[in-house]
Amino acid sequence: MPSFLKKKKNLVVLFCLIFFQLILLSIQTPLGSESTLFEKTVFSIFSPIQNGVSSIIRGIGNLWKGYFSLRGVHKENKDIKEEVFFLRLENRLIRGLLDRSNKEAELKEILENIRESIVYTRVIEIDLTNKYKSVVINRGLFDGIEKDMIVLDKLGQLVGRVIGPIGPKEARVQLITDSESGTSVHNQKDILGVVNGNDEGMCILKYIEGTESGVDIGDILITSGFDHIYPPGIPVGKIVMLETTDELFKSILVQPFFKLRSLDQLAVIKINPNEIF
Amino acid sequence: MLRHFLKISVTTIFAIVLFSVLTKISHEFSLVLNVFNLLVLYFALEEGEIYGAVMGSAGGLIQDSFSIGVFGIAGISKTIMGFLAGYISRRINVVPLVRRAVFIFVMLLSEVFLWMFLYSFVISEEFYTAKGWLFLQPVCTTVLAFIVFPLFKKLAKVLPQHG
Repeated sequence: MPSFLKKKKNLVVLFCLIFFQLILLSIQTPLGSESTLFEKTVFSIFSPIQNGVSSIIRGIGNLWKGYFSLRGVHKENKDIKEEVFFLRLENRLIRGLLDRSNKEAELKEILENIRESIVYTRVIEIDLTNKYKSVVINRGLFDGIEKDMIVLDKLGQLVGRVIGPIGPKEARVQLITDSESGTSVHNQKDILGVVNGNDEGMCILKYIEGTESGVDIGDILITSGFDHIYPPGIPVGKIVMLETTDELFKSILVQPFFKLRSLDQLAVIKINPNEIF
Repeated sequence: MLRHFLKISVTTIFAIVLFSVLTKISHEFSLVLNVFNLLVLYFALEEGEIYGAVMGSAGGLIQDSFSIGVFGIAGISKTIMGFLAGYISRRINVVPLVRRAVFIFVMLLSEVFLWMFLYSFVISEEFYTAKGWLFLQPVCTTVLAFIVFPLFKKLAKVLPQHG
């Protein structure tokens, strides 16, 4: 090593580290929302620790409840809750199917597979930078989780979709309240628009022209399926504020149906939505 | 060498566990108490600027992996903070309690502002301050430092002395 480099060894290390991270940053630009291999590796190494801690805390909480409350009732209640969870989601999916399918045999075949397509999951981590952007769930590649699978809450309302990185037992879910998220929706009068998150727990309905009269406060928005990510018919949110300004499009605020505080149980829909809806 | 590796591994795992517990209690805790910054500062103060910079890179990348944002921003801000903390602490006495508290606070404050600058520069969007909670991070994390640093030290002592 040249003598001037030896003298400035510490600075060389600093610049090498910064350079390495600048390379990391520049690699991500052409990849867009795709995760780099390095990011996937770091995620796969460290998220199991969080998963473990989350399981321990939940386990301690359950032990406490189970010990001090009526154990039998608690277990029964848990079973019923789980059953209700699946039934609600099945009901949601079946309703969607009934609306669209008229072939009885085809319907029967799909119904047999529908329960297997719902993966029950829990949130183990909320996004560190902004809690309205993403969450990490305790299901991953080993459970058949793949990118773009849709995620619903226990009432069958839209929460978001699986994005990368996906670890062996963990995966990141982009919430619809993330500003980078976009969902094609329509209201009861079939007026189409796109819902984006505002990073503060609400969503914004975009591309509704100022002259459009078919949109009003209180309108329920459901997915239209035109984005080819979310299947049609899933409840997204309700319009809570509407303003007509001088601009081309109306300013519309949407309250999403899912509640961040009650994201204890989630469902990942494994089946390709376009195949069943 | 092995001892150093063990020390880094154990304290890093401890930091992640602590971060996970804090997040489970409340998401706001993870905003106002930056455990990964403490990990970086601990190594910078104990071992010098190279360790500070290396742990800054590692801590920053771990922090970035817990978020949907661009991977590497926290890495840069923490690397610079770790290096500066190690470098400055070798030249001025930061052992007295008050001086140490001020030093840690200034380093944490610089890191937050550097991170905010890099975030705005790279992502070009407003960052989420959780209704201002983010600005409490330097103060709250400084207080936490006086609880966590002795724990890091105890963990290091538990490890074998030779190797």
